[in-house]
Amino acid sequence: MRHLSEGVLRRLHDDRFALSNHERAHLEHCNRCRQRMDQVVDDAAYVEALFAPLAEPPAQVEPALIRLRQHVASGSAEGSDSLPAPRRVGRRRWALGLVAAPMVAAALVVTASAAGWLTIFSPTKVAPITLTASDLSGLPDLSGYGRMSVTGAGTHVVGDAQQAAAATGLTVLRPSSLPSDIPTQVRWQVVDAGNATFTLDAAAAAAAATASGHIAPNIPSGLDGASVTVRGGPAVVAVYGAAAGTASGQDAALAALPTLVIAESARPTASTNGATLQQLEDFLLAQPNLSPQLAAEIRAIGQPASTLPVPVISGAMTSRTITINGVQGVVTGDSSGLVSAVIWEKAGVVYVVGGLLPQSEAVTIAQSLR
Amino acid sequence: MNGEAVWRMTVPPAVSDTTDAAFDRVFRSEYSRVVGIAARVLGERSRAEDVAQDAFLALHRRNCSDQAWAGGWVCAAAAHGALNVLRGDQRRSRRERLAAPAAPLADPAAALEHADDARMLRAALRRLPAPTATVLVLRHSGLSYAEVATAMGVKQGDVGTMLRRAESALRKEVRDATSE
Repeated sequence: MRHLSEGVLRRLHDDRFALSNHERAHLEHCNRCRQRMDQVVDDAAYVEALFAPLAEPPAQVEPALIRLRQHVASGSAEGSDSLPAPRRVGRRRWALGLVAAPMVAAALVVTASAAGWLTIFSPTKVAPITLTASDLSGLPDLSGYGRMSVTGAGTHVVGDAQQAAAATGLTVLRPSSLPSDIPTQVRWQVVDAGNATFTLDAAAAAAAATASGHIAPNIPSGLDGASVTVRGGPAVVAVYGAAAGTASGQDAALAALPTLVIAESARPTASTNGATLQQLEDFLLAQPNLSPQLAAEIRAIGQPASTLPVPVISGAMTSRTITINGVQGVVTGDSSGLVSAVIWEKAGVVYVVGGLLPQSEAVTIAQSLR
Repeated sequence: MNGEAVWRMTVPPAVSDTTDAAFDRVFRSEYSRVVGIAARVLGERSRAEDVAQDAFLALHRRNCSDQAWAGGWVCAAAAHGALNVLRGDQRRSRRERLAAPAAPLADPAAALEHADDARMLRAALRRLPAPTATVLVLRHSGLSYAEVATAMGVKQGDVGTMLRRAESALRKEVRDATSE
């Protein structure tokens, strides 16, 4: 008979009655399976030993139930069918895109790629694209489709705007005036040009799907091995009034937001090897977890090769388009009005102005860049 | 997001009305276990209880407590929620490093932390793909193969294979991290 699968061997470790008589007889006489069993048991015992000390004493159930009932009664849990975790993560990711200043441009592109927007593009304008919390949760898991490698994109702190300009070759724009409550101390950071290459790999996708017990994505043979490289940067990031970053708790990401970030980056571009833009776009838009609404919205952008989509999470964020310095930009922010950002592209440079500001202030600052 | 994508796939839609009694029953029978799952991931009881509340709120909202899979569902929700928080911690600490480039690099405590099994385990859970981390957390929080299958929306016969691969991957992850 065939050798026993590792899954069967693993189960045997937990349940000594897991084998049929045939399987048991095989195991008794097969050195190879016994050796594999030893390795399975060894790994399982190792992991058990890591987890064992983490066991918790029983929780106080009734006070927790009362707490939950109060939460429900207060209505704060109502009005949304989304799970709390994805929503919060979505907002935090967005906030990080804003704050993790060295990665502003890269974050936009990577978030866009994660949104199934793995197209070849050299954007000349920006446009908002609305994701619902469930879209965000249902996006194709790119890591299950192949391999990603990232190079470059190192960050350095420099002394001032001149050094930043010299290091990147960018013309560094600065606001001609700032609201009086914005700290004047600026930390300048420079991000090297970098690139991220994603290679579609049908074998890896099938293995990942098997491991997770899901259906493997159907990667057409023409696309197997095709790769897309996104190049971004260099970029200059000016952080005004950086927070200490020592806050803890759920809102730490928000608490650690600097007052204002002004970033500019050479526009990101993407190129492909082994597939056409149309093939990749069709493939990604056909993924089962992409909602028809989102797919339609992506298609509706038109000119995908020249538009940088700014992901906006429905319910958690607001967005509108605006004219900034003669080009189309996007103003976005969280629904509470605490955080906002303005993003636009002009002459091959993507600009982001954002932080803990009302949207009107972010727009004024954006328009004052010289 | 990766975890959430898979997670979404495993989430059955709300299919029927439920009574408060059904919800209370699930809450009382699963709460301790759900807190235990989140605490294994986070190592912090109060945050684990917050994650457990979120998971039960999600269950409450979906109105499906009378379904047989409700208990498994809320366990998986807690595992995913806790892993998300854990990954958020990583993003936060990465950002804090960026925000404080002048901070002293040599942390005398770092060497000690490295030896800390729980930290090593959590660091590995952060790096592993979400389904891999989830199957480890659920099984090693005491869920049976059948419960893991229900929680993750997979066939019971696949749990052994998933677990085997996950344990092997975790061990490799820890080994790679400690040999760096």
